[in-house]
Amino acid sequence: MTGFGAEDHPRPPLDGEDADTVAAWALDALEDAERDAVDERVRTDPRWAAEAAHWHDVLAARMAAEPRLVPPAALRERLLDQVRTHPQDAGVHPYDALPSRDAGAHRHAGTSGTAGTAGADVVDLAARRRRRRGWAGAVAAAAALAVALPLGFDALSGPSLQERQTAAVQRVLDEGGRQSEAALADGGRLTVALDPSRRAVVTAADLPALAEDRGYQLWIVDAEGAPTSPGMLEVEDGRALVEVGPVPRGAVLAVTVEPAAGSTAPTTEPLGAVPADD
Amino acid sequence: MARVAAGDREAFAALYDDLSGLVFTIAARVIVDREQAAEVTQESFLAVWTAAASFDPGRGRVSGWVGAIAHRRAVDAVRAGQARRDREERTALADRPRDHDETSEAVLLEDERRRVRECMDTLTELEQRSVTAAYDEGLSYPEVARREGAGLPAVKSRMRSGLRRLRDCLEVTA
Repeated sequence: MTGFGAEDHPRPPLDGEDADTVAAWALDALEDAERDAVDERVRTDPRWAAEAAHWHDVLAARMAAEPRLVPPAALRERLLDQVRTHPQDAGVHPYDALPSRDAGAHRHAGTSGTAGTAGADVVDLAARRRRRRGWAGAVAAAAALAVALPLGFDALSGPSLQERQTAAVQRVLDEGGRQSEAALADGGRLTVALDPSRRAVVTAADLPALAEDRGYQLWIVDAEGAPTSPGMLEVEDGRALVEVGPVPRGAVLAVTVEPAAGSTAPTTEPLGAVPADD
Repeated sequence: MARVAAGDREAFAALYDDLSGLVFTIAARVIVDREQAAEVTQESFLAVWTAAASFDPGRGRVSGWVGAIAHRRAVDAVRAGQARRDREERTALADRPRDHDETSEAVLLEDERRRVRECMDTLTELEQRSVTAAYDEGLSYPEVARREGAGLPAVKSRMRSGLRRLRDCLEVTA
């Protein structure tokens, strides 16, 4: 995904101040009015769109090479459920999918959203967007709907974390995967369920609470002993659930205690490690 | 992507498996808070699902497009206020802010990561600071200009020259 050949990327066609502007736009470094103007320009001028896509590819290549964090495992199923009923729209420009500021402002205004108020917000937001941007409407409405859905972890969870752990491991076993477990030095337990595509559901239980500035960090240590980290374990009542992968053959999954922001290499002895394969 | 555009949930699941790490990594880089980064990841994939038919493979990569959708949302979340305060608190709580030297240590063996890191090093210090202040912290270029005590056109121009250097290095060594 990160291979980046010159043949894919002809030199961009813009020069001078326009080119500077598109670069700053691609970094999302423009302020409101100027951003709106460029949003419009990339939708209507193929040269601007080509240059924009070019910079987006460069930035994605950079981020694809960064240590990879893994989103909460529950998010995958939640999204697959949502798209069952979520509308698609063929008649839009790709950059219509870039959001407006309304989305963020609304989301962080603290609306937790009963069904009634969420519905009202959808109408209101969509209408405002149509007025301001003259969009086709369907995308704006869909985007507004997305932010009006309950999105927090509490809403994501539904079943208890323990139930989700059990269900996630069972899914792997149902797919023909295998499970292994180890006791951790501090009394916790770490379980790894590896599916045939070598993605692993990692669960932990009975993890003792740590000082505020510490956290449990997960590591995938390859057969040569090189550790990479998929991230910190998000611990809730001593439990954690995360999906990682692909896990290289012969790797072990290990947990260490690290500063809350995480370390780039383990700085403490692992509390325990589980081989992904037998 | 054509299958996603046709409403194929399996194709969407495969796309999610390919790119959710990238999207979450981008969102968490900007927002820091993992919970809000997960929300941005969710919103971004719904936006991708909605607009999948519009994606033009002749113009750029799927990862570039999806990454741009995620980054814009993450920056908007930070600019909306609460996320910015959270970001500052979280960053203050951390032992020290993550920087590039630190993040490259654990993955030194991986050629791809090393290559991109080396390419980031081809940027001048001013270019690097301008690009990362905007992309990683979500600052606007006028904010970067104030921080650097530089003029607006100069900062914009540094952003572009930084991106060009990054691109040229990635292409040349590919």
